[in-house]
Amino acid sequence: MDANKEISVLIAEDDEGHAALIVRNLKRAGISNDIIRFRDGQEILDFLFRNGNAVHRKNNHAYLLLLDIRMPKVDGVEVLTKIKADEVLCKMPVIMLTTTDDPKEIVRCHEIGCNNYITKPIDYDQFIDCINKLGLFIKIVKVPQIDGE
Amino acid sequence: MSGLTAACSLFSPARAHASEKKNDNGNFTALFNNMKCCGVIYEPIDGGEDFIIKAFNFAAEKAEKIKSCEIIGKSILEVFPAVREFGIFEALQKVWRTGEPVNLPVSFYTDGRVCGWRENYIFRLETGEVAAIYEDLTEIRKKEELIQESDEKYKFIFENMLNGFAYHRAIYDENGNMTDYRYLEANKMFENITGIKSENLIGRTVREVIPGIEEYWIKEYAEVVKTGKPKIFENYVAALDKYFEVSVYSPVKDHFAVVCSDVTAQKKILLNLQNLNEQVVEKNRELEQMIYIASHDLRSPLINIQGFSRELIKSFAALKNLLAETCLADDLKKKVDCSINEDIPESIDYINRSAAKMDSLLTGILRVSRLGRAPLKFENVDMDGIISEIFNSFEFSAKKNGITIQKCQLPCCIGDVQQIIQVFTNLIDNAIKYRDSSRPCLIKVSGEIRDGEAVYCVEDNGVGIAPQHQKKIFELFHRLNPGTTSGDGLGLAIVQKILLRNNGKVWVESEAEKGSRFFVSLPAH
Repeated sequence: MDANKEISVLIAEDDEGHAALIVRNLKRAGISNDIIRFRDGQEILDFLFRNGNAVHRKNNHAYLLLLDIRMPKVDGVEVLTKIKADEVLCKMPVIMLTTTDDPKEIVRCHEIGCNNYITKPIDYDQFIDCINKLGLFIKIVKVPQIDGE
Repeated sequence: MSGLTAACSLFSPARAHASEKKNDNGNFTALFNNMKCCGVIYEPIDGGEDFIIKAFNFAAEKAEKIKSCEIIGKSILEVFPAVREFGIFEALQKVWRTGEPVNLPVSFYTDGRVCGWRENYIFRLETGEVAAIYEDLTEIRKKEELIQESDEKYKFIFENMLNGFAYHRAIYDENGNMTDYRYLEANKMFENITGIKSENLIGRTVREVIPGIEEYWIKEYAEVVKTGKPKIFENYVAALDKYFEVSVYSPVKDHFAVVCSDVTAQKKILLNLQNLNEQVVEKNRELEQMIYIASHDLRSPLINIQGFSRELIKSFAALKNLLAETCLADDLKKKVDCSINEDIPESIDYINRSAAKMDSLLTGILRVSRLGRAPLKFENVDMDGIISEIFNSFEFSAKKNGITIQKCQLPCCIGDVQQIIQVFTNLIDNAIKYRDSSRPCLIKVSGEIRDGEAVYCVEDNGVGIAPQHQKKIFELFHRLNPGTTSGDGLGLAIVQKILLRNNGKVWVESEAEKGSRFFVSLPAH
């Protein structure tokens, strides 16, 4: 548990409200980890692949990504594809967070290599339950560090 | 005897020695009588005013259908009354007078007794008698006429065919591959539909006539010439901007005939239809995509509405606790209590319920749109097996509610198994949902083959549907009694959509308060 405190949770989510709800509920679930939010697919790619002028990821640090599918500029599936195609980044756990429960899309994301897939339920209790479980998951899962250059 | 007499006079005695005379006469008589041509010898009388038949050979007997013994010594005018009209009488007179032979061209003799086509050669003998040697051309003429008639008939048919016709000879390269062909014959319609005049066609090769002729034409014809197997196909000639449907056959080695029709108009209509169909498919795809994106994107704000209204409840609860610990003046407390206990909870409740309703609608739209996009696998469906399985899944709820479900022997059909399971699950689910609590619920599934289709019936003794509502039940989100039963109003809309994609149909027969019969038809096995 202590080791996982070092994990940074990355949230790529274009909807401000969703992001706020996720952050609030993760915190309520007892997650005190560093949480960084990205507004679209391009921002998260720039962070991970160290492009552009914004903040880049740190060397030898563990990250976990919550990735929305429908986002402006670059969508979540494309982000996932790029991450899983990269020999360093592919070790990072990616949890798809999306509003659709389309079985085809779920299968597609699993094929590309997402580690988990969570449908954002409208039912708030379900949503909180989901985020709680996610918090639990973050606490117990062994997340590998991602090497730098 | 008449022949002998004739021959005696026919050949001048002066031309033979006395010792050979008898023998010669016998030979020539036999020759005259047996020759293939008809032969008659006439003796002029009354200064050429009449001619007496002196000799009449076997061929003449046959042609004129009369025996020589019946006519020897008789006048030509008596035996053949139409000779003046025929022209031979005048010719006989002329030959007798001048001694110049006359060739009487082919003409038709008829006198009511005998008739036929004759070509006469008339000459004068040294004895002064006149001989007519002629041929009976009647049979030949008949055959010629028949041939001509048939030729004309075929020519007429050929020229007036509604299809183009052309006959060709294959042209080969040094390797024996057919690389070109020459037009040998073509009818008017062929000219019409190709727009190429026959003088520019006959004797020329297709590569000369249509330089850009597509290779597929030559390839198809080459195959027919090579295999001898006829072929019917359709293709396009860019140079003429026309589509032709052609039947090709090879009646003779290295030759082939083509019967063709211009199908450009039909083809263009068809292409237009295909194009329209593609547009419809594309529009449909766009629509499905739009529904998908819209319903998907509309869910995002809903998550916020519900999420933050819950956050609001949490904050409100905290505020309520704070207020409970605070002393307020009576009138203010009354107002605050009204807000806290009535207005605010009611508002939040409406927000939540509306968000939940909207979510259910969007989920429904997504489900239906997904149904339209799902790939189908058509196969033989064992309905007996499927219905038994569905019954099993309803067994618990049926037992609990005292519902009897029965099924008869069911025919098979063709469709997507998963979707057909969905259809009957929805129908049986509805039958259970809309049962009449005043009597034990009975649900029966039956089926038969009707006009080549499998027709199934799900029958219940439930609340039934009044006639004026029967059409509406298949509408999206339409619910007849939203207050009394749960559901999203999609069950029958989904049934209808599935059947449309599976080449089937659904319809209902129902009477209010008696029960309903839902019929489903699907292509039979």
